[in-house]
Amino acid sequence: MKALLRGGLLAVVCGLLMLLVAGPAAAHARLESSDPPDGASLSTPPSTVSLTFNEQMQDGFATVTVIGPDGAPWHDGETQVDGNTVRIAVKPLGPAGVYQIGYRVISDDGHPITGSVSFTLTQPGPGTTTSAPAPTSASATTAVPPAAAPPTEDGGTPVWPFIVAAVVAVAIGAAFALRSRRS
Amino acid sequence: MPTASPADGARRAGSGRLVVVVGTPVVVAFAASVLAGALAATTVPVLAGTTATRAAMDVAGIACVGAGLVAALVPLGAPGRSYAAERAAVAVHHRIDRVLVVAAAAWLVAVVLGTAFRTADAFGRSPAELTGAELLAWTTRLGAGRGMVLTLGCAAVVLGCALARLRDPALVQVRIPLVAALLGVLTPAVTGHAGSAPSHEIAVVSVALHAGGAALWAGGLVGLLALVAPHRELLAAALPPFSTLAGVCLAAVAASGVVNALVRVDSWAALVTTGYGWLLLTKVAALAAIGVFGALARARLRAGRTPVLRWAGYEVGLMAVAIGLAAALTQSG
Repeated sequence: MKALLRGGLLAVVCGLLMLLVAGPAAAHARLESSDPPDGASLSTPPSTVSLTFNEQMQDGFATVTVIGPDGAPWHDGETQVDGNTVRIAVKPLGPAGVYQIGYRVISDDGHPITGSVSFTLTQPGPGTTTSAPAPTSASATTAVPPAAAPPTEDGGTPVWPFIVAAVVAVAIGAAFALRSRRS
Repeated sequence: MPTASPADGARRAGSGRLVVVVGTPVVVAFAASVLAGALAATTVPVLAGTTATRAAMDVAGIACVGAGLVAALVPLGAPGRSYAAERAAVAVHHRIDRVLVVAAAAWLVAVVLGTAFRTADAFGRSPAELTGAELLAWTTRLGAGRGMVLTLGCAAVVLGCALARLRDPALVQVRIPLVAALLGVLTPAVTGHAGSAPSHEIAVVSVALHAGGAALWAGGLVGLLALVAPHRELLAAALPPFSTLAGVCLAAVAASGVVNALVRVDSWAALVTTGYGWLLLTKVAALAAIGVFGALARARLRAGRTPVLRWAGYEVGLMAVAIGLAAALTQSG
C-alpha cells in the first residue's frame, strides 16, 4: 500500500508539473485556412476549392460541397484528401453572388465536424448548371446547407445482422456459462 | 409469487439499486449531451446511441475493474483470518467471477454497439444502413476506431479469464483480468479527444490517470459495497487499504482533471459560454461532493462508527452522475 501511495504521489506531482508546461489548446479537427479564404471577393472563379485543417484528414470520410447563390451545387467530382487538406473541383462558375463551401470531416477521435465558409463572385462566369433548382430568396443568408454525408458505397451489405448475431451469441454464451456452474 | 420471503425482498431491493447505479450514467450522459448542444452535427437516435453505449461501456469496464480490485483487496488465505471469514472470502471470490462474466459480456456488447453507432455518426447515416466496408474503415483508419478494437480485445480477455476462473479459480490469477480491465477502461479515453489534442502527450497521460483513478475508485467502492459489505470481518480488513487508495485516486482524478480542462478549454469565459465548460463545472462540483462524502465515510471509519455504508452509498450515486457527465464530455463537440 505504501508503494501504491508513493506511486500515486509521483503521478500527482507529474500531473502538476505538466500543468505548468501545458498551454491552452483545443481538441477536434479545426479549419485552419481555406482557398479561397472565407469572405473573399473574387472576380475570376476558382477551379478548385480547398480547406486546410489542423490535423491529418482521412480519405473517404471527408465531403465538401459548393453551393451557389442560385442554391445549386457547383462542385464537381469526388472530394480529394491530401494530408491536412481536402479539396474538390468546381465547375466553371455561373452567377455572381455568394458561394457557400460546406464541409463535413472526421476528427481522429471519430467525431464529425461540420461547417462552412463562403466567398463572393463579383463577375458572373460562363457556367450554367444542368439542373435548375428552385431559386430560394433567402439564399446566402444564415441558413447554410452543410455538406452531405459521404455517399454509400454501392453493393455494401448492411452489417447490422452480424452485429445483432454477435450480441446474441455473447449473451447466450455468458448465460450458459453462469447456468452450468450454478449450485 | 404468492409469498415473498425477506431474502427475496432484499434481493429485489439490491437489483433495484443496481438498476439505478447502471442506469444513472446512461440517462445523465444523454441529457447532458443534448444540453451541451451535441445535436448540431448529428441526429437524436445516433446521439442517444453514441452517448448511451459510451456510458454503458464505462459502467461495464468500471464494474470489471472494481470486481478485480475487490478480489485483490480480499485475498484468499490471508493470515490471521477466522475460518468463517475464510469461507466467506471463498464465496466472495466465486461471486466476483460470476460478476466478471456478466460485466465483461456486457462490456463486449457495449463496445460492439458503440462502434456501430460511432461509425454511423462518422458517416452520417443510420446504423441500419452501415456496411461492413465502412465499419472496417472506421475501426482501422481512425485513432478512435483502433482504440475501440483494443478495448474489445481487453473485454474479451476479461471474459475469457472469468470463464476460466469459473471452472477453476487456480487456472488464472485474478490480477490478469484486473490489469486487462484497467487497460480497456484507459484506451477509449486515450484515443478520444485527448488523442487529437495539440499538446498530445500531456493530454494522453493525464486523461489516462483520470480514467484509471476514477475506475479504481468508483469500481472498488461499488465492489466493496455490493460484494464484501455483508461480511464484517472481511470488510474491516479491506476498508483501510481501500480508503488510502481512494485518497490517492481522488488526488489523481482532481489533478489530471484540471490538466485536461486546461488542455481543452481556451479561456475562463469558455467555462460558462460553452456546453463543454458547463459539463466541466458540473463535474468539478460532483467531484467535490464525492470527496466530502468520502472524507465523512473515512472519519466515521476511523471513529469506529458503522454507518459508513450509507455515506458510501451516496458517494456511489454521485459517482454514477459524474461518470455519465464524463461520457457526455467524450461525445460532445
